[in-house]
Amino acid sequence: MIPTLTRSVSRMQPLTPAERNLRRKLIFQDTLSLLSLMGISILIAVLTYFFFHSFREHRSVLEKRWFARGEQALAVGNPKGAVQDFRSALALSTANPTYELALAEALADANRNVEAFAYFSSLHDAKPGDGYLNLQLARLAVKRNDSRQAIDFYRNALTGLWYGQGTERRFQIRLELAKYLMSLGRTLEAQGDLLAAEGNSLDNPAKLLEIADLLRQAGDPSDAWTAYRRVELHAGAKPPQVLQATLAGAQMSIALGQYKRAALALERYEARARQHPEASTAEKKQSVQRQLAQLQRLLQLIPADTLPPRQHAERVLMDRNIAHKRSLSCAAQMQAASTPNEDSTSLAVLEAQWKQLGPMTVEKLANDPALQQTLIAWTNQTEVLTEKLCGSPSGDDALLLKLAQVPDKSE
Amino acid sequence: MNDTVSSTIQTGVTGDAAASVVANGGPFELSDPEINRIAPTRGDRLFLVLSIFIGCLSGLLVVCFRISIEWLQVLLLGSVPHPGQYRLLMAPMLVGLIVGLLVKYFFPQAKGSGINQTKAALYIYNGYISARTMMGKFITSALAIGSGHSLGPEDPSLQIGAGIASLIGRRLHLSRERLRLFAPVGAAAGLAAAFNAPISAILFVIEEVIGAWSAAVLGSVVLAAVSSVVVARAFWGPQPMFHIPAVTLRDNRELLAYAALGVVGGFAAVLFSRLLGVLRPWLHSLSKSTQAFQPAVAGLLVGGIGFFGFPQVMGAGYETIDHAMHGEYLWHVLLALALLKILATTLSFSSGTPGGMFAPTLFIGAMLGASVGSVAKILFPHLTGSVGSYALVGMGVLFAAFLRVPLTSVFMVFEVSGNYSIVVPVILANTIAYLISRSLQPIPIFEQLTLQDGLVLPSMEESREETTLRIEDAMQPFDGQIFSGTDSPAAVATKLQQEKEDVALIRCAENRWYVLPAADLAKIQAAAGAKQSIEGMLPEDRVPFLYPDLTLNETLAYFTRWPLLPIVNRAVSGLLEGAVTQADVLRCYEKHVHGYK
Repeated sequence: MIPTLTRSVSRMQPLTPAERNLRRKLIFQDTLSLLSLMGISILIAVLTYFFFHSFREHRSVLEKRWFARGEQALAVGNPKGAVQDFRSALALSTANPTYELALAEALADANRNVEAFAYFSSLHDAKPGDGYLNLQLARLAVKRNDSRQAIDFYRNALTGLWYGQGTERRFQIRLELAKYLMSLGRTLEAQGDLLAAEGNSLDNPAKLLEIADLLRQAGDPSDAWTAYRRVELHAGAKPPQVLQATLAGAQMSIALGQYKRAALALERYEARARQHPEASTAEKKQSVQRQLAQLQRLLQLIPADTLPPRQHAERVLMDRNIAHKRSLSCAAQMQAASTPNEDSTSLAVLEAQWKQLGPMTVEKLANDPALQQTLIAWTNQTEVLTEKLCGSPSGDDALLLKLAQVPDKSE
Repeated sequence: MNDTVSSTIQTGVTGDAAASVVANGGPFELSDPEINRIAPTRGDRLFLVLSIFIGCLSGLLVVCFRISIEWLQVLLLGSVPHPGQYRLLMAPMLVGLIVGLLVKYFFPQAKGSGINQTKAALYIYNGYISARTMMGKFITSALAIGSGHSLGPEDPSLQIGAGIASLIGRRLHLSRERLRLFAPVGAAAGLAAAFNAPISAILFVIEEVIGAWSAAVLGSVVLAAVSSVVVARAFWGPQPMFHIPAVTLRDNRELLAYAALGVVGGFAAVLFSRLLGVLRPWLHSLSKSTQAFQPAVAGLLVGGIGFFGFPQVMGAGYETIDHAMHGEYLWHVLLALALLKILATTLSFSSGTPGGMFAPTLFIGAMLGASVGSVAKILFPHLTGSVGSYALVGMGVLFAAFLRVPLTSVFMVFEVSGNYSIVVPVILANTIAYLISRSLQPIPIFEQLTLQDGLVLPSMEESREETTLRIEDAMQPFDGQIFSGTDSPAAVATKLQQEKEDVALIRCAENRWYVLPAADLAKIQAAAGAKQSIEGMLPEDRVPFLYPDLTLNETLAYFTRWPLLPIVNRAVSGLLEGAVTQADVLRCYEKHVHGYK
């Protein structure tokens, strides 16, 4: 460095005219040098530009060729070959998102999940809000059994950006997520997603039907019934859809113990099937007929609280007689087999209780609501016990057993 | 210098010749003092403006250099090399032969990576790098790397940048001092363009080339690095060098895996250094006639590695690093790639083929990192982040342990990935690797290479660790008599005689101090009147203010004038803390040197 002192001394002494002239020349020469340097820089920049672009074009041709080969390999079902080709294309055009996406998809197709996940992740870094990338990552996380990450990615895919058909894609992702949650046993969360999907699909009976089926699988018969009913009432629903929803709705009603509602649904089914014979098969019609007959008989057996007292007592007594008969027959069967166990002892105790009550009349029962409840309870116990001891019943006993299994829900 | 040195050191002229080149032919044959007189600020201004030009030109040349390598790679090895292709054997061997002959007969100074050559230009040849050397480096390195030799383009880019700077400085007839400073400026520009990483380039030049934060050159280095990166990005785009997948530290326990990576990286760096330390001198010791053919043999061997299954080790290997970061290889393949790359790079570099070691270092680090990451993922699947993050940290680890530039290594990881979220693992692993490498391989690789060439360049690692001696280290309590400026010369003389002291320390006005030897006191006493104070009789100058925290060498300039230097307190003006004599200072230096040894 030039010592500061020297400079200050230099400044103190004014330049001579000759020195000033030299300085002007020096400035001129420096300016000229800098200008020539600039000219050289521009020249090199232009040459570099052409050199660079000629190479880029050549690479571009090569990379497109490899990419096309990869697509062909994928089209003929050769994901492994496609991986090689896409990788070659990517080597020539590093970080090209199209190639990366193609490679990631090919890797996923070839079940090379770790690598596919890495590529999708890098694309996801650049576009964290991209719905498709989040969905692919969710699917790969499912394959890797990483449920936490899978659910997070599914949720991101739901809220992510979709370029075209966003509503439809989100609906499908929600159903996919719900199915995944069901497979994990997280049915309550699945039900939440299905209900959200239902709220967004009220105008589409096909989607409603799909959601209703999934709700049924998720163990939510009540909401499933609502969804089936929506399809049934939907103006745009086609006859097969209506019939399918009506029948499934009836089954949901039965599951909920809503037998009267179920019977009405089956009656509607029959009526609609008559209107649209092409929408149902003869087998199905016969099955519905059988179910309806059973339901009607069941409704005759139910000691509904809404019945007048005498009629209620008659029903209780009728049920008690059916059950008692079944009890006696089962006891005889057990005696013949001579295989006593805990349940057979319970049945014997129950039989003793029946005997202790003595003969029963409708009048006696009608005036004693407590006795009616006792009889109903014993009837239920008898049907459950005899089923355990002597196998599944048939006829009225089978219907009473159904009532015994959901005593509080029954209409 | 011995024969090896003369053929290895890349400036092409001796120190004296370089000096004469610089001194001759200023504008209108003006000498430096003349220019300083008529245009005192010219040098400073030109220095800054030229830094920008150097940056731009280096950026352009580095872009051309990289494109040349890629063109050659496509032409010689095909767009995507696969094992079993005979061109993998032929291309590096034949090109190696051409490169060997070019180096032997046309560009003898183009040998090596370029880092030590740039340092030699700075410390020995007054910043002189010939245009021929620069051209030779460009051509031979591009040929070698493009044909598949296991070397990288970064170090040659650094030398190309330094060469451009030297050329411009000479054309503009800058002073010798400025010409010397231009070498690191150009080096930073070249490296920044090659890496697309200005901060790392600046830090590397400061850590490894200059060795200190010099204000005189820092501004220019920054300007040049930024300009070159701007130019390079105009062609390559702004994206970082590597496309890294999501990097996350999922669990703090994962740091153990990164620590393990540090250990593995440290040992790998030692292995790499030791191999170079054995093979390179051995090849140099062979007869001169074999040296032109060594690159061809190395090319054949490296090509063989590619031909028989691992073409990834050929060339710089950036694509392979990218693939490893995306978890495309199994851990044992990654480990094999790392070991084969060490072997291939040792062969290529030791044979004297021009090319750099940055890219191979990054490659080896990335492979080792991805390998450790893959193993960690197998053992602890729920604790481990992406393999890419391990590959990224691995690159930094090798950089820190092999090249021994710890600070640059951390920033390099950030810049080449554009990802700052991995700071803790990077620092941890780099530190472990650096410490292992230092303890097992005390001499850093660049120093090892200069020693092999018979040169003695300053060791940057040593200079970083040097303790600066301060005045307080030599200072002694002053137990003599302190006089006031108002005392009479006679009183001072009497007291000095009584105490048998050689000098009188006199406190003057404005808390300044004067040190008066007994001999001078006699003269003053003879000239003074009866009532005159001693301060009125003293010369005008006073002892300069010296404080305990100043460096010890700052005292040396004053001992010709003052036999003893009073050291004062910074907070309380004029408060005496102690004093130093020349003997104290020399004793302190002696003690330090012996202690260090």
